[in-house]
Amino acid sequence: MKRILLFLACMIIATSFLYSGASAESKPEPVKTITIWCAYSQPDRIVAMDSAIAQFEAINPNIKVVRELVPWSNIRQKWIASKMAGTLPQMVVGGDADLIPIWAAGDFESVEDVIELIGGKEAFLPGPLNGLTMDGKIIAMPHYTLSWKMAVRTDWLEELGMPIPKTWDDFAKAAIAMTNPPARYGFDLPMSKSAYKAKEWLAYFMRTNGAEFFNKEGKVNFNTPQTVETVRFLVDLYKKTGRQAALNYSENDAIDNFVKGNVGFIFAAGSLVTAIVRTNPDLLDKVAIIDTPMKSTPPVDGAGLVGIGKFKGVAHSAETSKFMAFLLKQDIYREFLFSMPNMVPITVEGSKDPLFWEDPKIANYIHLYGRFMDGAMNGARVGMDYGPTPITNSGITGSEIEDMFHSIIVDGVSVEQAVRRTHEKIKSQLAAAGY
Amino acid sequence: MNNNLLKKAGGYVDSKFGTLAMLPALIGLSFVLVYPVIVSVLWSFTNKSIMRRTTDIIFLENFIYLIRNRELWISMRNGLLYTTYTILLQILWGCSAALLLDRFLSNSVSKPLRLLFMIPWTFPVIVSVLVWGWLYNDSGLLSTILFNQGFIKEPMSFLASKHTALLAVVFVHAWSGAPLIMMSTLAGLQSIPQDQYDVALIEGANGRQTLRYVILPNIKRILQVIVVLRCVWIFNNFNMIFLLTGGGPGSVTQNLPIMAYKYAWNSMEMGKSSAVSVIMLVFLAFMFSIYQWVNSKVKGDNDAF
Repeated sequence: MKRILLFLACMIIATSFLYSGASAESKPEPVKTITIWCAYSQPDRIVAMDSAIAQFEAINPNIKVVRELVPWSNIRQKWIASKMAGTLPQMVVGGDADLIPIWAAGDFESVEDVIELIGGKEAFLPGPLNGLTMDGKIIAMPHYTLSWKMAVRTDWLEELGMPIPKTWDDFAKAAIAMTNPPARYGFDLPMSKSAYKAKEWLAYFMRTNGAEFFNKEGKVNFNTPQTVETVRFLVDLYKKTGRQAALNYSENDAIDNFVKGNVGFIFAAGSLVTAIVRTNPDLLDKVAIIDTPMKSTPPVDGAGLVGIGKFKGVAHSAETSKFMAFLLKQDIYREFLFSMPNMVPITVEGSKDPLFWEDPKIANYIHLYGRFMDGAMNGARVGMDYGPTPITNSGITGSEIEDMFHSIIVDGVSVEQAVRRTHEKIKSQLAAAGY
Repeated sequence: MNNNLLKKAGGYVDSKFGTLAMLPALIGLSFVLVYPVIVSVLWSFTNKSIMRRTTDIIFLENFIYLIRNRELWISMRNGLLYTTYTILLQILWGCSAALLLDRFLSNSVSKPLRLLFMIPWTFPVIVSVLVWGWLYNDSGLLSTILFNQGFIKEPMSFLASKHTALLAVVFVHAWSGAPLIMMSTLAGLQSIPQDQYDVALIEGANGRQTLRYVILPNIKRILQVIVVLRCVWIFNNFNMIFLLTGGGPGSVTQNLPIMAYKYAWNSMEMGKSSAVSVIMLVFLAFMFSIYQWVNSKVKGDNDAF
């Protein structure tokens, strides 16, 4: 009898654990909680976002906003894992390359209601809005745009008596002349398999040689003589002007080296200027932001949109839309843009705001920031040379390009074979995704 | 009548009490352990992809694709090399440390040293990886010392060189896992009766003979269990390699778990990723059954004497 009672007690305790979990979820919440996965990790941007959240909650006491830090490189894993577990949040901040596949997988709802709350399509600059429009629907609310351009040490060029390079040949000569290990290196191509930056830097050079990842019809067009020539050019440059360790470098490692003053050329976003101002302001007069040296076709800068997507089928849709629109309220938006002054405004009001453009944080460095801002308006995301498309992130989903460079440099595979294999891999990944 | 039923129920519960009491835990464990394995095996026969809205059964296509792919065999080879080097280093360091603590140092010295030797085991993997990542960096301590002493022509990253990357990762894993071998061996050593050492001394055995005829037979069983477990854990290791090298440079440090990760999270092909996991499971089960067979043969031969 005692054992029966003891057994029943164990069953009751075990069941109550399960029940308490369920009942905690079924209790009605007095306050509506909405969650945003936010990749902004710089302290100033976190402060700006938290300030916006606090101001929103003060006006809307029945809505609580939870900001969850999800790094850029983790967005995809987090999305997949949460989708499987049924724990998607209300919103996610991501680059267009992250947001478009989520839309293509059917997990976003379109944000026309948010756009209307802000003032309709006329309130936005056309480029950013078009960049997040697919199948006639606005898939995410643009938050800002940015670009990547080449930065160069002008003082090193002056020492060598060389001009700002405009062609591949000039660039290679300058990078090789600058290289004097271990103090100076001409060009560090970051090839870390977990950072996915070699893909972007390759794309910037490919565009100047008439090469592309996908053609206008959305078919893989990677295996061409122009691509082979570009890859061979970069591999040769790595061997003659780069560090051995660049095989494991992320873009941040390359930027760190540039800011420390031991590499001559890199690609970077406008955050490079902020890093120089903070860490090594003596470098400001010795740096120029230039166009990518060209081979046969004019360069197209790397540009990207950052937006906020709204997940489908989660609770508190109206409250979510309200919060998203609040983030683009002019004074809130201005404070956010100041938190990292390489972000280009995407609203008409923001683009004309004198309080933004005349602020010393921007005005003092406009000769540098201005170049990035031009690139943001005129550039294109890697693989989206013909407009936004989900095939880029379905075909080039990870470290395919970094694997290609590693196979050439480490495993000794020929450039032609490596390019061909990568072309086939991108094709098969597209097919697996149903394209 | 009711009394009889109650008595029968009581008797049944009495006899099955242990099993019944374990049921809630068994059900929970099944969800956590058995369910993912079943789902993984099922997915391995499909073309499941996160980007695809429908999933089709493709039977053995994933396995045929993988078996024909050089990448699988390279990853398998890397995994076997990584496991072999790491376990050998761990046994060498762990057993040497245990012998040092048990046989050559007094208690007052041995006890604090034991704590010191345990430190690598207590570090979370991410901390170990960060520290060793900095040490191995081209601007890290190791590279700086070697460059300043003229051993290398320019600073190098040990994790970015195909000649050193695998050994660098092996070293970190061996460093972090050796304390477990040390503690297990030490426990075995401390259970060896002193009179066995006395008999060996009387018989005129030297150090090597004492090690061979007294120490090793006594710690053999413990070492067997711990080495088998460690081999499985090392072969399955993902986090150490991924955090240090991501499987690179090239494919030098890529093992099967990293290959499965790339299919799942890079290519989003859950079917192929699951197939890699199933291949790993089958391979480990096969190796374990070989070990059991060899073990039983050795035991059988020993029993014959």
